[in-house]
Amino acid sequence: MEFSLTSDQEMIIKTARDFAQKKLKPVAAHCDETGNINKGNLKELGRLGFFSMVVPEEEGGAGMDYVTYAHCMIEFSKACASTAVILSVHNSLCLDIMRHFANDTHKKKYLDDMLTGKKIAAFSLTEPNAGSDATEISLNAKLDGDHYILNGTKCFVTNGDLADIYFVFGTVNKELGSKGTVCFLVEKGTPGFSIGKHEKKMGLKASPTTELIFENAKVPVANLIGEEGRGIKIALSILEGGRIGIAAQAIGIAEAAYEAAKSYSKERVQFKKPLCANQAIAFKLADMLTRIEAAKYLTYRAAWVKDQGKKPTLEASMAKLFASETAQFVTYEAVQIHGGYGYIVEYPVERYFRDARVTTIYEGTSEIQRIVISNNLLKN
Amino acid sequence: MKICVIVKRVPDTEANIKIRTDKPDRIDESEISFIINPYDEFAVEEALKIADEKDGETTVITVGSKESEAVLRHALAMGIENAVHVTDNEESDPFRTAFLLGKVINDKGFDLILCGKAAIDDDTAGVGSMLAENLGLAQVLVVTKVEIAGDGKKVVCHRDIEGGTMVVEAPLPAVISCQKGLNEPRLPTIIDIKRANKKALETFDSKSYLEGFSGPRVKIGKFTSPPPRPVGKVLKGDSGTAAKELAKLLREEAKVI
Ligand SMILES: Cc1cc2nc3c(=O)[nH]c(=O)nc-3n(C[C@H](O)[C@H](O)[C@H](O)COP(=O)(O)OP(=O)(O)OC[C@H]3O[C@@H](n4cnc5c(N)ncnc54)[C@H](O)[C@@H]3O)c2cc1C
Repeated sequence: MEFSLTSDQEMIIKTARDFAQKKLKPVAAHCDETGNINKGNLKELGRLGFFSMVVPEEEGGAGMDYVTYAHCMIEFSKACASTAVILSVHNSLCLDIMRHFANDTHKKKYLDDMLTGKKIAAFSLTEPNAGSDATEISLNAKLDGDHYILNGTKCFVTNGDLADIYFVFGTVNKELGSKGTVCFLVEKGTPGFSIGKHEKKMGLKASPTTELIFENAKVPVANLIGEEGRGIKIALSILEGGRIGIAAQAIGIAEAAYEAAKSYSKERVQFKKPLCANQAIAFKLADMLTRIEAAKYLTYRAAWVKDQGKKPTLEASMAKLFASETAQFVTYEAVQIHGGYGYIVEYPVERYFRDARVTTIYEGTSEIQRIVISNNLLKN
Repeated sequence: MKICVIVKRVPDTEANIKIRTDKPDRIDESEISFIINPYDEFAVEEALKIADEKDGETTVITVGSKESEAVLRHALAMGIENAVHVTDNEESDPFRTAFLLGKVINDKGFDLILCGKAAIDDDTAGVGSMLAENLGLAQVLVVTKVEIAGDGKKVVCHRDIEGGTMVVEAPLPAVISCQKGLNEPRLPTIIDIKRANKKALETFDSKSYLEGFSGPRVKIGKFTSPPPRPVGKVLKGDSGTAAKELAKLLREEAKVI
């Protein structure tokens, strides 16, 4: 694996850092408090190319590699984890489906607007009774002439009402198990399709998470992605990219928490000396930084394997597991180092602590990552 | 209209500056990152805006080490068309830089030369004026607004002065130094960054332009770090008492009122 960066990579990452620090960071606390994302910033991210990061230039994207992608996601997450998850779902889940499974007609019709961020995409697999076990999805799709009629409810959809394009997973016949599953591209405004409840969450409050409701929703047959029976296969095949994105998100949050804790520990004086002059606090900082660095290299490695055109199943799961658990540890200790002030909303570590929590849950819980890793290592 | 922008590579504003222990007239560059001088970024943005309006051609020039190439690439990524690198490894000295720039720019026929009001590292604010003198051109310094007028024959600039604005006219060609508030520099897009890194630069060795240079006029003696900032004071008691105490301290200790 290559450790040094090219000047392309360096400059792109610097642009991400500048944008994150100048535009995302100053409004992140406000976005969290009001539960609204800053749409002007999303638009600008689109102009800069961050809504098409890993799509090759020949296909109209920014043509970035996954290593650069991971670095940029860390920078965005450090400033605003809500913005980062919006980008992660759009880039590493939805655009991956578009590139690998959509046909030319789909691409012609939708891809350009997705690449500029004019149309944001959402990925909807989870249902009330199908979380870790996605094969249990039951959103029903019934063929009727040149349309499928969709009935059911999806939940926990990132980019819920923000999106214009939804990749929705369902089944034509639940008895067939995964062989009956399907994936559709559903446009906002499709008759019978509506946005349900907006979830009130612990963290990532500026990133909308909603239900999607399908009541005899009419989706054209042309909007079937892949064939009938391939739904779950499509969902599973794009997981690695998503996990690299979430690992990077977790690292960014952790890094922000670590930096806040470090500077606080140098300023806050108790017993006539700064907090960091106590070895108990200094050692916490040492552990925090060491784990963050370890998480980074697992994540860059997964990204690098993907850039080599290989499938980083094991690497991405290990990166996601370790980075998200690191984010728990680091944000917990960052609050601890802040004492009572860490529990007060005025101090950003309070938000980092809440934002970090979901990273061990979505895109495969830590338990699911351990299943993937152990299945893999016991395979032969 | 031909527009030239002069830029410099400087330590990142976030960098923690340390002085070299072996050479007290140099800073330790080993652990810091570098950026384009922020005031030069206003100059680049202004050049792009003017070029857009007046269908102009833009060129960026820097004098400095091999590493300075990065700031030229940054300007190219923002949208500047041509880049010239005068490689020079001498200690940065405004007189030398202005001399070299004067020689390089002399016959290029620029209508407008833009630079930052000062570089944030040594803060000498000298190169712009010296260059204007070397080329025999008008100079308007520290401007917050630039307008090309009189059919491209003159420039009208605003300068912020105590309590108001000074409007200055100068014939073109002229040298203009840019102040914060002039514009908001754009970030380069990912695609533009990649294009910029593929572009060819014009590179000259400073040696070929040094004929007639009489040597630096000033020399850096040494750098010293500012004394550590004393810990702040927190005034206790209700707001009335605290305000009285604050007024007393401002008068007697800080001596600012
Ligand atoms: C903020 C947020 C955003 C989300 N965004 C999206 C989105 O955009 N699209 C989408 O489709 N989904 C999204 N999700 C859903 C998310 O992916 C699921 O919540 C997650 O996969 C877990 O499913 P579940 O909540 O049903 O938990 P369950 O599957 O019910 O799991 C509960 C617990 O049991 C454990 N568990 C389950 N099975 C096993 C097992 N076999 N062995 C050991 N332990 C097990 C789990 O690890 C977990 O600890 C989002 C969720 C949240 C909170």
